[in-house]
Amino acid sequence: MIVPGAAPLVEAHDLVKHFGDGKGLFTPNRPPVRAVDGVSLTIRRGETLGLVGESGSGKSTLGRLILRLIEPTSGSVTFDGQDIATLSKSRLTQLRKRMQLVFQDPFSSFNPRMTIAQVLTEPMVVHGMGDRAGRIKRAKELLDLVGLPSFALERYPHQFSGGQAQRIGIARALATDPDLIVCDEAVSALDVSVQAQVLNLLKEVQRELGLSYLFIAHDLNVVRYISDRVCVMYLGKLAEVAHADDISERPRHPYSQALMASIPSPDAHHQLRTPLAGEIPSPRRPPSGCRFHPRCNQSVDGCDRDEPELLTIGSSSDARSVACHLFDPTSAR
Amino acid sequence: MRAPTGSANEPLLRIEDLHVEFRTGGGTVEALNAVDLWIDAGETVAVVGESGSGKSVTALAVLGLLGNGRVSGGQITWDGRDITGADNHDMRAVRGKDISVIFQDPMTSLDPLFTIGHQLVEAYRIHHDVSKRKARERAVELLDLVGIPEPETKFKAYPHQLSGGQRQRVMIAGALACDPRLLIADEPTTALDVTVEAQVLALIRDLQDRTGVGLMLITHDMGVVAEMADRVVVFYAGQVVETGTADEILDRPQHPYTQALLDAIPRRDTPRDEEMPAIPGAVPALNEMPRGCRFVTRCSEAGPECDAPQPLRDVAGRQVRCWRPDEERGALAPMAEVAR
Repeated sequence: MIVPGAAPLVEAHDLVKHFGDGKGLFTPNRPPVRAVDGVSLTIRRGETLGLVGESGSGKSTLGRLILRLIEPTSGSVTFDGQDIATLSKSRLTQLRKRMQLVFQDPFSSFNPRMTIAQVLTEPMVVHGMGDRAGRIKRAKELLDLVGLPSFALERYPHQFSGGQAQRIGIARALATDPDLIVCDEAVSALDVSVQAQVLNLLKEVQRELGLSYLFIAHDLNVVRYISDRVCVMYLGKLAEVAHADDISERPRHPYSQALMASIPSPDAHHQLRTPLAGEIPSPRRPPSGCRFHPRCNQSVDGCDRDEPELLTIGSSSDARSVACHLFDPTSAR
Repeated sequence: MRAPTGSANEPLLRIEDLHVEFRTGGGTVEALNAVDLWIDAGETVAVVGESGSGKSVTALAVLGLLGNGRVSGGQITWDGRDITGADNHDMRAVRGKDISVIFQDPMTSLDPLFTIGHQLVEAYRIHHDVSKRKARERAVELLDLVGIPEPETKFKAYPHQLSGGQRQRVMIAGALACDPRLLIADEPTTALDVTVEAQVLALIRDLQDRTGVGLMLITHDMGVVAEMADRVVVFYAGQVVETGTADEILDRPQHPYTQALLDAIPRRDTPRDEEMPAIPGAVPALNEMPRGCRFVTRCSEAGPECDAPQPLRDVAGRQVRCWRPDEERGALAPMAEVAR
């Protein structure tokens, strides 16, 4: 449930992350990888913000910047009113309790020698929550919340299926009672039938606990289903931000339109999709002007020269932002 | 619609009652149980199912690449010839020439130490007694055919210098080098972005139109099935549970598992405020299979009858591994066209 009128939980302002500053021993003049190149966004309380884009668009880097798991080159992130870029280490640790991450492959994010009880209580130990008995009690509650029996506590990660392991991953993320969970391709590796279970679980947990998700995924229909709003990212920048239904039914940016047209659908028999030409260019040398212009089928004079700004129309829940020269904010949406 | 016997209409590939076992630390487990499947020349058959359902094992059995597994029953016939359990020497003449394969991750199939041109030339010369120069010409031609820009230059590129989509194009070039009659593609686009996936699938279809190569497409993605398949074979827990044309399977699934699988896919118009229709539970472990229907533990329509082993039966011209009478399965085509 989105809390209307309340201040946003997360506000990212003009975030930039460049990797490799070109001073390598063998590559003295190589330009840096501009993974995230000026992104501003907000995540509201109780909201699921979806983040889509092709591999190499900078989705995961953006997710890690928001958690300050990596340091930004420039820009700021405010979490619940506090600028996390300038926080001291101890204050940051306190804040970390309130933000968690769920990974694509749960198995590689668990220590295989830890029992599930240890997996689930470790974050509580790190943040000094409760005594031993209290932590075990909470671990049992968490398992119950994600639909696993309490005897799972004595087992080891390899004894679970992929879907069960991802439930444990979610339970661990919930252990510290966070306000924000970044789900980075959290359901991408799961089979369809199990993926549906985990999507339901994420929604149910959100209804009960009122937390926010930043949901990063490449499956557009999955993102549309779970998200309130969706950000479309291309080569380190946001191309479009809009309500989930607007993005899927009325995408305005040519890249969003191409992405939507690329989704394979079980309902469209023997219809070849219209493939988007070419591939995403290297983030070391992004194209001039609009970064999408070499692949865009609607580009006009100037698209290769001037970089379009992300312009916003509407307000609050039906706001839409588009970074395209063809987008006319004065016309109806 | 069982494949007819007799040499005139013999399918390209026929798999009958195939059983495959693997030895594990905990004893022998059966990965395939009574699998029937056939592919005609030039046809695209999609093999769908979830992880561990036996899709890839079926392909590996055809290719004679089972490793520590073995065929414990049944028969595989290629072009009228029994190749069940053929030894490696015999299979080498078929593999890569008549039957080619591409896998999900091209990076593990390509050798990082050699240029892609070198690898294409080498693959071609295994089956063709030609000079290096002739093979090189053929390799450049193939790179051009699969849409690699500047094929002469890219011939000298190493795998890491190509994008994921380009690497998969190179794999396709290699697979088609010897004009195979069947291409087995095991999740060929799963690791690619949807935009690049659309490009690669369009390429495969274009090449099929030009060369008439048959395609066994292993995938978990029903969207890919809809786009590519003539016929569909649905796997669950080591068995075929349903076969039919793509339209039949996608529009009028008969087996409760196929129906549930289709329901569980988020679509563009799935209501966002409703729960996703998930399939409860998980696939049973291979050593804990129910004796009767293997889907019984997760089926919303299960009854006492389901405890008996279920044969794959002909229902209105298709095959379904479920006892339930046809009329309970909703609108069905009349039983008329059973014989093909």
